[in-house]
Amino acid sequence: MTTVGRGIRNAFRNATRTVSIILILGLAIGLAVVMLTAHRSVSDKIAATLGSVGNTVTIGPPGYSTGELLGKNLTAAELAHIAHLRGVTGIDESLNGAANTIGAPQNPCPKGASCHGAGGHRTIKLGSTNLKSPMSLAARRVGLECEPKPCTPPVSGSQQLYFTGSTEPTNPVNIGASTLSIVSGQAISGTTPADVAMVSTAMARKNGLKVGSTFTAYGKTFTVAAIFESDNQSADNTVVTSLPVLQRLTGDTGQVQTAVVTVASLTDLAATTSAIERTLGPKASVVSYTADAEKAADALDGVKSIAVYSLSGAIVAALVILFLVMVMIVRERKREIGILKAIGASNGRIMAQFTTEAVTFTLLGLAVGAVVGIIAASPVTSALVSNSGASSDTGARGVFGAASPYLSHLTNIDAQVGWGVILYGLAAAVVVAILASAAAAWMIGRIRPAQVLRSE
Amino acid sequence: MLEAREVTKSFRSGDGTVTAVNDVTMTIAGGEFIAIVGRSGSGKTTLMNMLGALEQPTSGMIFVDGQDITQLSPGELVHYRGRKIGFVFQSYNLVPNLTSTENVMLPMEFIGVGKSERRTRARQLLEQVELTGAKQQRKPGRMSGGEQQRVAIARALANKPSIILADEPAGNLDSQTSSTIIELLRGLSRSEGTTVIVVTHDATIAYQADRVLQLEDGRLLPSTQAADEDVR
Repeated sequence: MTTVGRGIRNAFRNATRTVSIILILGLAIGLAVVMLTAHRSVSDKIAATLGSVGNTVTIGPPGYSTGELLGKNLTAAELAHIAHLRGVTGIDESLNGAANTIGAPQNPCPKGASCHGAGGHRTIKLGSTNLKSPMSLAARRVGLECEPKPCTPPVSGSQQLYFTGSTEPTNPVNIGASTLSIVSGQAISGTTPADVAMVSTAMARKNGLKVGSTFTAYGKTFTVAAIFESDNQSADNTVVTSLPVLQRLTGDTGQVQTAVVTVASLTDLAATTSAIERTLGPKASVVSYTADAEKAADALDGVKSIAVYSLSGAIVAALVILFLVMVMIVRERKREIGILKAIGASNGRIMAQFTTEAVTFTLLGLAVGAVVGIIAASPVTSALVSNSGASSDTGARGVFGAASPYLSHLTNIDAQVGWGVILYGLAAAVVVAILASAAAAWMIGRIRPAQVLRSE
Repeated sequence: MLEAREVTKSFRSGDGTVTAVNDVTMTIAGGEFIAIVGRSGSGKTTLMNMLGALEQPTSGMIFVDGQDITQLSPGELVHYRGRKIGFVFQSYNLVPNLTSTENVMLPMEFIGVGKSERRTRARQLLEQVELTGAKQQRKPGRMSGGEQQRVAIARALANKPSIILADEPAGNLDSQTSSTIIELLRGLSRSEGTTVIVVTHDATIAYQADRVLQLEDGRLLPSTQAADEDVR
């Protein structure tokens, strides 16, 4: 048996005490893991949001910035003027539609009329589809109204699907998300005239769709070209097509509801925004979400501070617990240490044995802490975020009545304990064990075998 | 060979100073079996601890094979204790969560003997002290006092030391076991040429020694004969 082997075996010398130490350390380390995860998740979210918002400007119909869409859609011809403005590097144009699913009251709006939400006068052309919605019946009601009166109000969100036609179908902003990844098939082109579409994994699962499967919508047969995942659950209910296809299906040829303009750099943002406003005049509402994003991110910074304080507290608690445990163990085994010295063990070897024991405690504590972290990270982060005052509702409105498409999911943080956190925990556990063993090592160095053996 | 020259050890006690060992000078030849006797508090254990480099004398010198161990650095002291000295204690002082074999292997590990060699030698030593079979895998808590002391003797012999220091090795044992243990030490002294120094109160043990040294108030009495008579 080696020094390390004896250290590990000694960690289990007293089963009751070992279990108690590991559980207490596990809770402290678990809290540290939760807080580290919360901090990283919030930081990543803020960085991703600010990064995506930072150099973009969103253009919509008049009233878009307040959610009161009073005017007509924009046209591709109008937007073509801003493509040549200085600083503009790209424009993602999109149009939205909706379709009632099987079993839902068909054609709730009179032919030729348009339906719109309670919060504004947004125009969404309704069609029908043979797809089933993946949203549960408990999903929120959209609250659409219809006009001209009298007409049958549209059905709940669980019976309705949304269609988004875009020149950049993989841009997550189009579906109100901050991430969109293709998990199967190939992304469609934003200019293709073919009736191809991208559906969410939830939609594919609900309808038994695979890449190459077909479905009908707006009286046409669509082929599934790709299946995607996003960080917006509401986007599960959305079918993505190219802009020309949705314009054709809804009869809105040449029309665009929103356009996201990418500006070369943040320094050009203000000048480019002004130039766009001047070019489009009262026909459009021009919004930059940078200030909104920074305001929302400021609230989340509070969560980061709480996480840092709690993380520090948890590590200090673990350190103090282990420090006291090691002092107690060394005091208890003074005699044994004296024997080891008498039969030829060096101070360094005995210290290594006790440090191994401390490392064993912390690694087992880390294992318990990782389980605690995996279970608690997400709910604790959600609770911290929801109590932080951070809100996506900054006044700017998107196409479906939600807040900014960039910010609508700022508070929807998916906190998962990753390998990075576990590796940080591992390093911290070893450091904590070594620091906590320092006092034990000092005591070991001072033990004089003749003294402790004389007390026979 | 072991030689102590004018060795003195004093301790602070309250306001004063207690001299536990006072100006002791002695020479012990290699392979001798020596008994140190004396009343409780006469300085026997303190002298043993200094010979084993567990304590430094206040003054004087101790030579072991020509080297003054009072001048050794901490690292050299560890080396000295590990290779030249084997300790046997009254209360055995085995490591409780290690088996007999593991306890005997321990000093060998400290001087860097390989694992398989450690294990083989530990088994041989345990057989030498008549502990065989399952007893070699028992932990101290499941062994009698005599068996534990045999393990302690095997451990003391592990690194083939030139000196074995035994402090009341039979103090906690019945007379029959006690005599077996002393016979064992005496036999080792003869067969291996190991110097054995035994601290004891027991006259029967002292009788078996080649020489008896008597301590009184920290001083070594000049005559071995006197010590022998005192013991008798």
